[in-house]
Amino acid sequence: MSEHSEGQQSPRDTTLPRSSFLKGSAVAIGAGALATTAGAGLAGAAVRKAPFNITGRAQATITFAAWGGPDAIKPFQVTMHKFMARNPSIKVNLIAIPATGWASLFETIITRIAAGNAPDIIRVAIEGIALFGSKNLALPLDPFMKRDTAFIEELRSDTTPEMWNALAYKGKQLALPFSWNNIMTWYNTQLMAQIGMGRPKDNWTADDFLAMCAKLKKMGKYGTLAPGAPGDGLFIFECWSMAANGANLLDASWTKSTALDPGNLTAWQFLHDLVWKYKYSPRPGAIPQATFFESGRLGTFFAGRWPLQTYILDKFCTPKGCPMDIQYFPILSGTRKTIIGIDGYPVIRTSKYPEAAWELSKFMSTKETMTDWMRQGTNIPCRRSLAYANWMSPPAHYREFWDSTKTGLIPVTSPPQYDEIDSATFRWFSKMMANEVTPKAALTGLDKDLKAILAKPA
Amino acid sequence: MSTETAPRLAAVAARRRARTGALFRSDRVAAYIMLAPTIISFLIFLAGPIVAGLGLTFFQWDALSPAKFVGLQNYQTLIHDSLAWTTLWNTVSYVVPDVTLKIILGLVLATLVNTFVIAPLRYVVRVTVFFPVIISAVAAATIWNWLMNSDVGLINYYLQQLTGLQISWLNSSDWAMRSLVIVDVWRNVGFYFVVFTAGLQGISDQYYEAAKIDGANGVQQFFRITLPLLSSTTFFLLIIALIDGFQFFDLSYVMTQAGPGDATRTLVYYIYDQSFHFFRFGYGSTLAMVLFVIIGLITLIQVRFSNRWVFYA
Repeated sequence: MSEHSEGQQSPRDTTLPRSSFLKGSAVAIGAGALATTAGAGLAGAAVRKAPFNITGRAQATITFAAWGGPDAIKPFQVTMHKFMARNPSIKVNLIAIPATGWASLFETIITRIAAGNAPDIIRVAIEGIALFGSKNLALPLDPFMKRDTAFIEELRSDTTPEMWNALAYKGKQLALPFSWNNIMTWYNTQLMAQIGMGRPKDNWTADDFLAMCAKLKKMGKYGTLAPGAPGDGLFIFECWSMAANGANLLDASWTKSTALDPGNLTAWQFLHDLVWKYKYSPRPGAIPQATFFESGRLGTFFAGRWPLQTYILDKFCTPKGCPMDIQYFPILSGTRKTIIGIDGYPVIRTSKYPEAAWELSKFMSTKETMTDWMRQGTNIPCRRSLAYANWMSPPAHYREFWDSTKTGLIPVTSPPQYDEIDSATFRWFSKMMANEVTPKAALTGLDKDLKAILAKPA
Repeated sequence: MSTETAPRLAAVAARRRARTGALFRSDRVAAYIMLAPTIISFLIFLAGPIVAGLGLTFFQWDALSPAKFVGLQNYQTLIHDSLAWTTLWNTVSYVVPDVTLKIILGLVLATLVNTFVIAPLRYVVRVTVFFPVIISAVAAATIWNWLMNSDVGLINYYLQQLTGLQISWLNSSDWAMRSLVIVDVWRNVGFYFVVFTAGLQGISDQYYEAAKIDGANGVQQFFRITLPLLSSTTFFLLIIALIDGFQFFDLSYVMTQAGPGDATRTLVYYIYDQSFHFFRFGYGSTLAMVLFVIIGLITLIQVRFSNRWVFYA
C-alpha cells in the first residue's frame, strides 16, 4: 500500500497551495490599495487642517527651501547664519531645490507638501502666488503684519504698491516683497564699439534693433538670442508683447485670453523673422545664452538682472571691467510697458513654527539681507532706497533697472493655471519657431487652448 | 503479504501522517518565511500601487485636497482627448525604429566583433561600445544637445562642410523624434551588444564546423545556425526593448521638452504633464493604466507567438 494516497502532498513537497497564496495576496493588495488611497485624503486633510500655531520663544527648527544649485544658494547661507545669530532660539535648515524654471520648482515643492515633507518657508515668485493661494498652501501673513506695523509701514514706503499686489491673493498677503526683475536689453559693449554703434538710444525701436543686428551679422555674429529654449517661461515670451504697445496673452484679471491682440502678432512675427527671415538669431536650443555671449558671438540678449551672477562667477564681468551693459527694451510698436516678476517668502500652512518662519520672512525683506544677497549679482532689490546703491553696478547703467518702473509695471501673467498656460504657450511658440506654423496660426491655436484652460475650474 | 493487522497498519499510517503533516507544515512555513521579503516587496511596491493607481482612475485628485469620486469620467475624457492619442502615436513612432535599430545594431556589432576582432582587442571594443550605457541620460542629453544644435552644433558643421546640408535635428517635427532615437540607440546599444555577445559565446563551435564541412558559407551559417540559436536571446531583448521604449521620457524632457509643439511628447511625458505639472493625478493614472494595458498586451502577444520562432537549445 502506498504511503500517500492520491491528492495527498508528499512530506518533501513544499509547494504553496495556490488558493492560500491567492487569498493572502488579495488581502495584502487590498490593504495596500486602501492605505495608498487613504493617504491621498490624509495628505489633503493635513494641508488644509493644520492649525495656526502661535509658539512661544522655544527652540524652533525650520526648513528654508530655495531654488538653485550650490552656487545659487551661497548667498542664502550668509543670510541664514546672520539670522540664526540674532535669533538663537530658531535654527534654519537650508535646502536647495534644483529646477529648470519656476514651473518645475513648484512641481517639486507641491509634491513635497503632498508627501508631508514640506519646508516651512520657501522662495516663491509671482508665477506661483496664485497657485499657492488657490490651493491654500500658504499662510496669510496679514495677522503677523498687524503686529509688526512699524516694519511693514517702513517696507511699504520703500517699495511700490504693484509689488505688494503681485504677492497677494484675493486680498490676502502671502509674501513680503524681496526681489524683482524686469527684462532689459543686455549688450556687449565691445561688439557695439566694433560696429560703431555705441550705446543704443533709450527709445530705440525695432528698426534700430534690426539695423544693429545687420551690422553684427556682417561680422559673423548673432544679433540676439530669440526665446524658445527649453525652460523659457511666460516672462520671456510676454516681455516682447509688452514692447508692442503693452499687449499680453491674458487680460489684466488673468481670466480672459487676449492672445489675438495685434501686439502679440507683432511681437511673435518679429521673433519669427529674427530667426527665419533675417537669421539674426540662432534657432532656439538648449545652449546657454552665457556661452554665446561670453565667446563674443552674441551682440545682445534679453533678461533681468538675474544672469549677472553667472557672468561674475565666470569672471566675464569683474570689478576691473565688465564688457556688458543694459538698455531698455526696443519699442516694437506703440508704447512700451515694463513687465515684472517679483518674489517673496511665503510661510507654508503646514509649518509647525509659523512665528519663526514669519521672523525669517521679515528678515529676508530687510535692507541688510537684500544688500547681502543682491550685491552678488542676482535680482533687483524691491527696496527703492537700494535702487541706486553703488554695488548695483555693474552694469554701468544699473539705474535703469529701477527707472524702467516709470513706464508702469505690469506683472507677468500668473493665474492659478500658470503651469498649463506656460506649457501651452511654449508648445505653440516652439512650433512657430520651428517654422511649422505661421505666427498668426500659432496665436490662434494658443488662443483656443487658453480659452479651454481658463474655462476649467482652477 | 503483510502480517500486520489492519488496525496496526492504520495506526502506523496515522502516525506517519501526523509526522509528515508536521514536517510538511514546517517546510511550508519555512518556504513562506523565505519568500516573504520578496512577496511583501512585490505587494507593497508593485501590486499595491498598481491597484491603487487603478482605483485613482475613478477619482479627481490634485494631491493636496481630498480625492473626489468621478466614476468613469477620466476614461470618457481620454476617449475625446486628441492630444493623448497624438502622444500614443508619437510613442509608437519612437518605439518601432528604436527597438529595430537596437536589436539589429546590437546583433551586427556582436557578430562582427566576435568573428573578426582578435581576442585582446575584443575587450577594448566591448568596453568602448558599452561605455555610453553607464553615462547618465541627462549627461548624454546635454552633450547631444550641443552636437545636434542646428546652428552651432558639430554635426551640422561637418555635414555642411561635406554635403552642404544642414538638418534641424531638434528644431523640426520631422527630425526631433529621429534625433532622440539616434541618441537613445547610441546610449543603449551597448547593452544589447553585450547580451548578444554572451548569447554568441553560448553557441557551440561544433555546429559551425559541421556546417563548414557540409559546405555552408558565412552568410548561411549566420542565418541557419547563429540566428536560430540566438532566438531566445533575441526574444528576451525584444521584450526588454519594447517595455523600455514605451516608457521613454528622459531624453525628450532634457533635449526638447516634448517640442517642437508636441512632436516628441510621448505617452509617459503626457502622464508626467497631467500628474506632476497640472496636478491631475486621476487622469494621469488613467493614462498610466492605458500604458500598462498596452505594454501587457504586447508582451502577452510576444510570449504567445514565441513558440513559433524561439528555439531553446
